[in-house]
Amino acid sequence: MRSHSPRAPVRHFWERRSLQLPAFRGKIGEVKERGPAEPAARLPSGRHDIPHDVVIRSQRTRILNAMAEVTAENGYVATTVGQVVARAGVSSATFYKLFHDKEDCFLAAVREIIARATTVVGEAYSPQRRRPDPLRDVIRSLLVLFAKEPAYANLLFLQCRASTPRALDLYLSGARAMLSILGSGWADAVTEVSPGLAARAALGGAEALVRAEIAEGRAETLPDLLPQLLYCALVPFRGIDEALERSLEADAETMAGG
Amino acid sequence: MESGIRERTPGLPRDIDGLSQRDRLLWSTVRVVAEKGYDGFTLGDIVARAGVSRTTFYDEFANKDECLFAAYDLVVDVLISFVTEAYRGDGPWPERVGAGLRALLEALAAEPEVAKMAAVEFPAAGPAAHQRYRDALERFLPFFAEGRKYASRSAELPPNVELMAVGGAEVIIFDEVVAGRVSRLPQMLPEILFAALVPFLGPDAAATEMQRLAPSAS
Repeated sequence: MRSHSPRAPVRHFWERRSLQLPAFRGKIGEVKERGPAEPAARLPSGRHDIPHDVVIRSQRTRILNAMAEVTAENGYVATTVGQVVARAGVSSATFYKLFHDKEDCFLAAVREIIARATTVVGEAYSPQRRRPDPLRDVIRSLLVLFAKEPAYANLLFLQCRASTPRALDLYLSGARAMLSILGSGWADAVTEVSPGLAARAALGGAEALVRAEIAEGRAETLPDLLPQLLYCALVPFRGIDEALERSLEADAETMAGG
Repeated sequence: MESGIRERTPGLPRDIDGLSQRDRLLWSTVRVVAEKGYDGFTLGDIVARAGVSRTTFYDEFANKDECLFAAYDLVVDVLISFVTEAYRGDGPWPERVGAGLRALLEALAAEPEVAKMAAVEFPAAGPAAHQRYRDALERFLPFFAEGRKYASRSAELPPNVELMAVGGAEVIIFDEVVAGRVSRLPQMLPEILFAALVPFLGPDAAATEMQRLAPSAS
């Protein structure tokens, strides 16, 4: 015999103050908060008045973008520093001024996309933007980000598992941050199962769907997964009926172009 | 099937004497890679262990990689066959999923090095190897096709609900393997079953199935 506590009333856990998640920001690996990504356009070469640190930032961003693109095409193992600098249009000397080696650069690219994902999640939870379904907003914002940056999506969801232990650690630290988001605030939603387990089930299912889309070269259409991912994230906590209902709402909104 | 012990702990073959040359090479590859790591083994290691000549090796495989991929597929074939065997029967679908998962987890726990190779090291070798890992995961989807019929609102479930189930279970298994806790996997059967069933059954029914497998839970 198992005993049911009365089910918590349906309410939007995502709007709770505890879910504004101050602890989440900046907690992932060595990620620090950053503003939006710097422009990666190539700056003029030769003599110019552009400040030195702007030049360095632009070079760094171009190298990271190139790393994401080249690994998405060839995989991490087959990627060489030579390919990356050729794609970035910088010299090897510049590369080694900014990074120790291929792995150092690769890990910096992973941190870059995790930092951007963190920013996006933080914005979706922003107390200034109280919306009916913040969870939906979080998932949608992440999908839009990954659709806009297919090479970085590949880097995060495929290459991190197919490269080095340190990259896997970074990925898992990002995943743990998502788990804490999914798991916090749900303690009274399901009495029999720990929120940690429910969150792992939710995240694992969502990752599998996202990974499959990216592996098939469909990163650009990731936002279409929103209704399914919302279902996946909700069902272990709120049950099938509510998960389906909110998934259908998200679907209708997507169809309406909202 | 001869004894209860055999039935509960299916394993990968260790004695390869009676096998074909090709299978001897493949199982030797599995063992050598599990022992020496994906980067550390040589063709000489494989043929020595299999007791065949290099010429025979090249009759069967174009190169080391081809042999490695074939060995990987063989391990997956065997794991799938254990799961299929355990899943068979007339019992309720959630119980058969539990039986299939138990067979998988026990097979992995009995071979920690092979489990690590199959789930972590081989997929990290590059995009083709990682694709092979995802292909292997897809081979578990048919076990969940029946879940749609079993679910109460089957017609409305999301199109990829089977992949959610496989992904939910996989992430727990993967984390345990990465953390070096392969031998504990059978103890985690209830949690992994919950993750696999919840997209079809919802949390209450999935938790009931989970508790059925956790004898000490009060």
